Amino acid sequence: MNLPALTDWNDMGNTSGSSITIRNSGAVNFDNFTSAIGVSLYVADGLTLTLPALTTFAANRGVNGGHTWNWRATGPAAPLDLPALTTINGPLDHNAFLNIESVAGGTVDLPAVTQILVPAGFNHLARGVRVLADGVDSVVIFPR
Amino acid sequence: MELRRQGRQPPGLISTDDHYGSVNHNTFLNIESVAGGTVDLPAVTQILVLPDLIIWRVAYEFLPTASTAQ
Repeated sequence: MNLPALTDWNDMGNTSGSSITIRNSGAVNFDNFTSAIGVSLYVADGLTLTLPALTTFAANRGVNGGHTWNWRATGPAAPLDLPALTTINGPLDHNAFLNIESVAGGTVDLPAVTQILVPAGFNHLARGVRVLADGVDSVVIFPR
Repeated sequence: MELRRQGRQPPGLISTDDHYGSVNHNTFLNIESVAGGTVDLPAVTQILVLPDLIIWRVAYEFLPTASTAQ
Protein backbone atom coordinates (compact mmCIF):
# COMPACT_ATOMS: atom_id res chain seq x y z
CA MET A 1 0.00 0.00 0.00
CA ASN A 2 1.81 3.03 -1.26
CA LEU A 3 0.61 6.55 -0.41
CA PRO A 4 3.86 8.48 -0.26
CA ALA A 5 2.32 11.93 -0.82
CA LEU A 6 -0.48 11.65 1.71
CA THR A 7 -0.23 14.36 4.35
CA ASP A 8 -3.72 14.64 5.85
CA TRP A 9 -6.39 12.10 6.66
CA ASN A 10 -9.38 13.76 8.21
CA ASP A 11 -12.35 11.65 9.17
CA MET A 12 -15.09 14.02 10.24
CA GLY A 13 -17.92 11.61 9.54
CA ASN A 14 -20.64 11.27 12.11
CA THR A 15 -19.63 7.69 12.77
CA SER A 16 -15.92 7.75 12.14
CA GLY A 17 -14.61 4.45 10.80
CA SER A 18 -11.26 5.15 9.15
CA SER A 19 -8.34 2.86 9.88
CA ILE A 20 -4.95 1.60 8.74
CA THR A 21 -4.33 -2.12 9.24
CA ILE A 22 -1.34 -4.23 8.36
CA ARG A 23 -1.21 -7.97 8.90
CA ASN A 24 -0.19 -11.20 7.22
CA SER A 25 3.03 -9.91 5.60
CA GLY A 26 1.43 -6.67 4.39
CA ALA A 27 3.27 -3.36 4.26
CA VAL A 28 2.37 0.30 3.93
CA ASN A 29 4.13 3.50 2.99
CA PHE A 30 2.74 6.64 4.60
CA ASP A 31 6.05 8.43 4.87
CA ASN A 32 4.67 12.00 4.66
CA PHE A 33 1.50 11.49 6.63
CA THR A 34 1.60 14.31 9.19
CA SER A 35 -1.93 14.90 10.47
CA ALA A 36 -4.67 12.44 11.37
CA ILE A 37 -8.20 12.99 12.59
CA GLY A 38 -10.26 10.00 13.61
CA VAL A 39 -8.04 7.22 12.24
CA SER A 40 -7.58 3.90 14.02
CA LEU A 41 -4.31 1.96 13.67
CA TYR A 42 -3.81 -1.80 13.85
CA VAL A 43 -0.70 -3.95 13.46
CA ALA A 44 -0.16 -7.67 14.06
CA ASP A 45 1.61 -10.78 12.74
CA GLY A 46 5.13 -9.63 13.52
CA LEU A 47 4.97 -6.61 11.24
CA THR A 48 5.80 -2.97 11.92
CA LEU A 49 3.51 -0.02 11.35
CA THR A 50 5.57 3.12 11.33
CA LEU A 51 4.19 6.56 10.53
CA PRO A 52 7.44 8.52 10.64
CA ALA A 53 6.02 11.99 9.96
CA LEU A 54 2.82 11.87 11.99
CA THR A 55 3.00 14.75 14.47
CA THR A 56 -0.60 15.34 15.53
CA PHE A 57 -3.65 13.21 16.09
CA ALA A 58 -7.16 14.32 16.98
CA ALA A 59 -10.18 12.19 17.56
CA ASN A 60 -13.30 12.76 15.55
CA ARG A 61 -15.03 16.14 15.59
CA GLY A 62 -18.40 14.77 14.56
CA VAL A 63 -21.64 15.41 16.31
CA ASN A 64 -22.49 11.89 17.49
CA GLY A 65 -20.88 10.23 20.47
CA GLY A 66 -20.44 6.60 21.34
CA HIS A 67 -17.46 5.94 19.09
CA THR A 68 -14.13 4.31 19.90
CA TRP A 69 -10.82 4.70 18.08
CA ASN A 70 -8.12 2.10 18.65
CA TRP A 71 -4.39 2.03 18.22
CA ARG A 72 -3.51 -1.59 18.80
CA ALA A 73 -0.29 -3.58 18.49
CA THR A 74 -0.88 -7.32 18.84
CA GLY A 75 1.83 -9.86 19.45
CA PRO A 76 5.61 -9.77 19.77
CA ALA A 77 7.78 -7.98 17.22
CA ALA A 78 4.77 -6.10 15.88
CA PRO A 79 5.36 -2.53 16.94
CA LEU A 80 3.17 0.45 16.28
CA ASP A 81 5.77 3.15 15.95
CA LEU A 82 4.87 6.84 15.91
CA PRO A 83 8.26 8.48 16.42
CA ALA A 84 7.28 12.08 15.64
CA LEU A 85 3.90 12.23 17.34
CA THR A 86 3.89 14.96 19.96
CA THR A 87 0.23 15.69 20.71
CA ILE A 88 -2.79 13.44 21.10
CA ASN A 89 -6.18 15.15 21.24
CA GLY A 90 -8.93 13.00 22.64
CA PRO A 91 -12.59 12.92 21.69
CA LEU A 92 -14.97 15.83 22.05
CA ASP A 93 -18.12 13.77 22.01
CA HIS A 94 -19.85 11.89 24.78
CA ASN A 95 -19.12 8.20 25.39
CA ALA A 96 -16.15 8.36 23.02
CA PHE A 97 -12.65 7.03 23.67
CA LEU A 98 -9.25 6.64 22.10
CA ASN A 99 -7.78 3.31 23.25
CA ILE A 100 -4.00 2.94 22.98
CA GLU A 101 -3.33 -0.76 23.47
CA SER A 102 -0.52 -3.27 23.37
CA VAL A 103 -1.65 -6.85 23.80
CA ALA A 104 -0.04 -10.30 23.76
CA GLY A 105 3.48 -8.90 23.85
CA GLY A 106 2.90 -5.98 21.51
CA THR A 107 4.64 -2.62 21.55
CA VAL A 108 3.23 0.86 21.03
CA ASP A 109 6.11 3.29 20.80
CA LEU A 110 5.31 6.97 21.38
CA PRO A 111 8.73 8.43 22.16
CA ALA A 112 7.90 12.07 21.43
CA VAL A 113 4.44 12.46 22.94
CA THR A 114 4.44 15.33 25.41
CA GLN A 115 0.72 16.08 25.63
CA ILE A 116 -2.49 14.11 25.80
CA LEU A 117 -5.44 16.47 25.81
CA VAL A 118 -9.15 15.90 26.18
CA PRO A 119 -10.44 19.36 25.45
CA ALA A 120 -13.74 20.81 26.56
CA GLY A 121 -16.35 19.27 24.32
CA PHE A 122 -19.99 19.32 23.50
CA ASN A 123 -20.84 17.92 26.89
CA HIS A 124 -19.11 16.38 29.88
CA LEU A 125 -20.28 12.79 29.77
CA ALA A 126 -17.76 9.95 29.66
CA ARG A 127 -14.98 10.40 27.14
CA GLY A 128 -11.22 10.21 27.19
CA VAL A 129 -7.94 8.55 26.21
CA ARG A 130 -7.20 5.10 27.66
CA VAL A 131 -3.81 3.36 27.70
CA LEU A 132 -3.57 -0.42 28.12
CA ALA A 133 -0.62 -2.84 28.23
CA ASP A 134 -2.10 -6.34 28.54
CA GLY A 135 0.05 -9.45 28.85
CA VAL A 136 3.69 -10.41 29.29
CA ASP A 137 6.08 -8.06 27.46
CA SER A 138 3.27 -5.79 26.26
CA VAL A 139 4.40 -2.19 26.53
CA VAL A 140 3.29 1.31 25.69
CA ILE A 141 6.34 3.52 25.63
CA PHE A 142 6.20 7.23 26.46
CA PRO A 143 9.20 9.55 26.78
CA ARG A 144 11.05 9.53 30.07
CA MET B 1 -20.43 5.12 -1.41
CA GLU B 2 -18.51 6.43 -4.36
CA LEU B 3 -15.62 8.72 -4.90
CA ARG B 4 -16.30 12.24 -6.00
CA ARG B 5 -17.20 12.44 -9.62
CA GLN B 6 -14.56 13.45 -12.07
CA GLY B 7 -14.41 17.22 -12.35
CA ARG B 8 -15.59 17.76 -8.80
CA GLN B 9 -12.58 16.23 -7.16
CA PRO B 10 -9.28 18.09 -6.99
CA PRO B 11 -6.29 16.01 -8.03
CA GLY B 12 -4.89 14.07 -5.17
CA LEU B 13 -8.03 14.16 -3.06
CA ILE B 14 -10.06 11.18 -1.96
CA SER B 15 -13.37 12.15 -0.45
CA THR B 16 -16.50 10.29 0.49
CA ASP B 17 -18.68 13.27 -0.34
CA ASP B 18 -19.93 13.31 -3.93
CA HIS B 19 -22.51 16.15 -3.75
CA TYR B 20 -25.32 13.80 -4.79
CA GLY B 21 -26.41 12.46 -1.45
CA SER B 22 -25.27 8.88 -2.02
CA VAL B 23 -23.07 9.00 1.05
CA ASN B 24 -24.80 7.99 4.22
CA HIS B 25 -24.00 6.36 7.51
CA ASN B 26 -22.47 2.88 7.65
CA THR B 27 -20.69 3.35 4.33
CA PHE B 28 -16.99 2.73 3.81
CA LEU B 29 -14.30 2.98 1.21
CA ASN B 30 -11.90 0.08 1.72
CA ILE B 31 -8.49 0.46 0.10
CA GLU B 32 -6.89 -2.96 0.34
CA SER B 33 -3.94 -4.90 -0.95
CA VAL B 34 -4.14 -8.59 -0.16
CA ALA B 35 -2.19 -11.75 -1.00
CA GLY B 36 0.81 -9.85 -2.27
CA GLY B 37 -1.21 -7.20 -4.10
CA THR B 38 -0.15 -3.60 -4.52
CA VAL B 39 -2.15 -0.39 -4.28
CA ASP B 40 -0.12 2.53 -5.56
CA LEU B 41 -1.59 6.00 -5.03
CA PRO B 42 1.44 8.22 -5.52
CA ALA B 43 -0.43 11.55 -5.94
CA VAL B 44 -2.98 11.32 -3.16
CA THR B 45 -2.33 14.05 -0.62
CA GLN B 46 -5.57 14.06 1.36
CA ILE B 47 -8.21 11.61 2.48
CA LEU B 48 -11.38 13.27 3.70
CA VAL B 49 -14.52 11.86 5.23
CA LEU B 50 -17.00 14.69 5.57
CA PRO B 51 -19.92 14.95 7.96
CA ASP B 52 -22.30 12.99 5.80
CA LEU B 53 -25.83 14.03 6.63
CA ILE B 54 -24.98 17.72 6.90
CA ILE B 55 -23.31 17.73 3.48
CA TRP B 56 -26.18 15.75 1.99
CA ARG B 57 -28.69 18.35 3.11
CA VAL B 58 -26.66 21.23 1.72
CA ALA B 59 -26.22 19.45 -1.60
CA TYR B 60 -29.92 18.76 -1.87
CA GLU B 61 -30.89 22.34 -1.18
CA PHE B 62 -28.42 23.97 -3.48
CA LEU B 63 -28.30 21.46 -6.33
CA PRO B 64 -31.97 20.54 -6.90
CA THR B 65 -31.61 20.16 -10.66
CA ALA B 66 -28.60 17.90 -10.40
CA SER B 67 -30.25 15.82 -7.69
CA THR B 68 -33.42 15.33 -9.73
CA ALA B 69 -31.42 14.36 -12.79
CA GLN B 70 -29.83 11.51 -10.88
